Amino acid sequence: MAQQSIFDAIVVGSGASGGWAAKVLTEGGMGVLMLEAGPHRVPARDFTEHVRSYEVPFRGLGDRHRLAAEQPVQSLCYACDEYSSHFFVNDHENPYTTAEGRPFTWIRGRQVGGKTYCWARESYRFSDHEFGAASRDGIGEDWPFDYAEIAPYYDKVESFIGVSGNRDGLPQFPDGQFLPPMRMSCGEILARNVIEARFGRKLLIDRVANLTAPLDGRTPCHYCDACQRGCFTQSYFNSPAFTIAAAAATGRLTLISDAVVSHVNTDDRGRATGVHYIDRLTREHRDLSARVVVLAASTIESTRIMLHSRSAAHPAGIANGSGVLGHYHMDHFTIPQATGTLPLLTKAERDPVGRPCATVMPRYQNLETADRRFLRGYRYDLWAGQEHFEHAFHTPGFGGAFKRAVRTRVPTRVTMGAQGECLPRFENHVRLDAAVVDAWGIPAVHVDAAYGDHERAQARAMADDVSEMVHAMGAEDMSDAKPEPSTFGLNIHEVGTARMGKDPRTSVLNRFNQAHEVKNLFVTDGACFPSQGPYEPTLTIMAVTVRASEYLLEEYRRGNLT
Amino acid sequence: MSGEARGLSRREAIARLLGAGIVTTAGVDLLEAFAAPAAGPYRPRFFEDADLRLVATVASRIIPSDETPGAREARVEEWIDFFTAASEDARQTLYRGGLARLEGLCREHHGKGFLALEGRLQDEALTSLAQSSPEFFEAIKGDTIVGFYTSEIGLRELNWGGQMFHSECPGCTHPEHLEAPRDVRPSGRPQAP
Repeated sequence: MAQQSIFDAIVVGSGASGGWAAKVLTEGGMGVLMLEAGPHRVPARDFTEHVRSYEVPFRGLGDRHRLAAEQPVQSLCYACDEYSSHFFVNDHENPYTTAEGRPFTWIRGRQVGGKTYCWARESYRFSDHEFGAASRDGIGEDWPFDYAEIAPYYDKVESFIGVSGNRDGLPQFPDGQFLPPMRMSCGEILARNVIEARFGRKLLIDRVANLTAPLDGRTPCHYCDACQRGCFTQSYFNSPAFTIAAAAATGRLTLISDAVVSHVNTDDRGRATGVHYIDRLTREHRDLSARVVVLAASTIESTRIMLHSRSAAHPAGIANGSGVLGHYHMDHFTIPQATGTLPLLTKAERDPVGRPCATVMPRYQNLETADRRFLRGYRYDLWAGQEHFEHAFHTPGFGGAFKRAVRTRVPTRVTMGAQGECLPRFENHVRLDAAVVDAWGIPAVHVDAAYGDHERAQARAMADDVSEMVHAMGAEDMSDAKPEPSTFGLNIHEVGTARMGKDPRTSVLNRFNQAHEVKNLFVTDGACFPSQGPYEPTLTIMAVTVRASEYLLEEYRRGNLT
Repeated sequence: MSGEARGLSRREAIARLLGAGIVTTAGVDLLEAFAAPAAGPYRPRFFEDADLRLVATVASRIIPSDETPGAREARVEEWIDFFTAASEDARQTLYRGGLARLEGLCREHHGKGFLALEGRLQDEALTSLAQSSPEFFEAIKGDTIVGFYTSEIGLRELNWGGQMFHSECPGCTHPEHLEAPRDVRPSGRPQAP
């Protein structure tokens, strides 16, 4: 079967990027083989969004014994809980190492769909403040294209996946093709009003890849508030229900699950000829051939595959003549949030719950005027609403009066945090660990990355600003934000390590995600980012993938890739 | 990021419940046992029968049955037994010692055990326990809170609407909020725009 054929293209990875690559290439007429390291997910077995707390043994707290034994790293992620831990990898099968004193948390989802089942769905466009950041402050490299060039691809992605949002008209936060926005809560309205009146800053409803109106036959969100557990109605973007389904509908997609790709095979001249993979379950080794290879296995996984693709033509890993592969690793950092209650809104009635997003304050630092304290900028997150029963822990006493107070004095809690841009630095890197292999014998990665003075300076400013704003809302029982950057990796926005650029001496990929040194090798996931801005990477990953895939298609048709 | 931003995180909730503790016993067996309970009365996994009754009664004083059902109807003691059985040694020791202290305290003051006391005296004993053994009292209060409010009865008690189907996006519909306040003083009182 597959071993005998030569596919037009192999796409490694089935998440946000791989799904789009497969869709664009198959719709353009190419025969595509998609390889995914994990299994298929079955809604009837694996989706748990309507399971209630009393239907699971640990009431949602999770079996700490099992999590500590099998997922000590993954369970650090807020979304990896008793209902959803099956969407995350087993840490013992998937080891990695870190540098002394430089911790890194690597959260991974291996299944058809990758992390798109459990992502937070925030979908923001970058602006030229991000794409052209290096020209403004001299740090790192600009992206090899500007906003005007990528904007049509943002349009295509948003129109297909469905992004709910408000058109806010802020130049640093470009509007897109939006479905109707979700609504703010009472507490968020109060916060928005205070923040605007006192500080002149804008608090906006999140833009999220949840359907607020029917789209292409899919029903809108029903606000069950558990998106990270799957969605029976396919009301938020995940690649199996959207892009992979579209690719499959062409009849030109072959999908092999449980295929753990080890490396890219090459010929004498160093061109990609296919990939080598190991069956996750049988441990059988196989080679598959294709005329073009697209890596979309997630930032560090794609780079790991490239570093492990060594040959006479590529002694330091495929397409790594520059020595840049693995370097300029970035992840957003956050800080411990400020939180308190809004006494004006304490009441007996329960507000409706279930909106699957929060609010966002776009970056306002270092736009038109420079902030002397730090470079680049950060954005804020704010959520306000009633919690399920957490206020009971803060309600004194016991007995009938306690029980009544919990029922009839429901506070509105506000939490506010921030997310900042990590600067690209050569020394923050990943490489192969010569001593450690995963369950399939593939070398593990060694991650050596840490935040520096820039991020710590941002964190101090974030903490001051956040605490000041939450105080101004009249919050009580407050705990202030703290100027402590989170663990590298824990924000799950890891990008870089195979960056795009115009200069082959300082970048791995060209402006269309094509390896400078291997014209039939493309890398379309977050590994390609030259810088990260303060916003979630996934929407940009998808737009970049569509742009790269359209270029690939055209080059393939012209015979330039073989 | 927004998932993390929203309210008390699961990790914080667990940390609050467990202190620094981690549940460490044979979780898989317990899970299967819990998923398919045998017919008949509940068979405790950690507590002796007498201690299970003690836990049940303490829980029912913390969240009593009054105009609405309480810990007794929600069988909170079964959750506490299950969770304690799956907990680390330190937490099991905390429970054993705490229940013994509660019994000792009752026998010292009243010459009989907690279960034999009338409700008013049980409440006095718990108030005294909260002062003399705050760590244990907070643990059993916290476990009662979790066991009750995550039960079907507890979700109804708080009219909790999560994990359900809603026809429209929940959010503020109050015109008075949309119009005002434009500003709020630190006291929390609205201020004229």
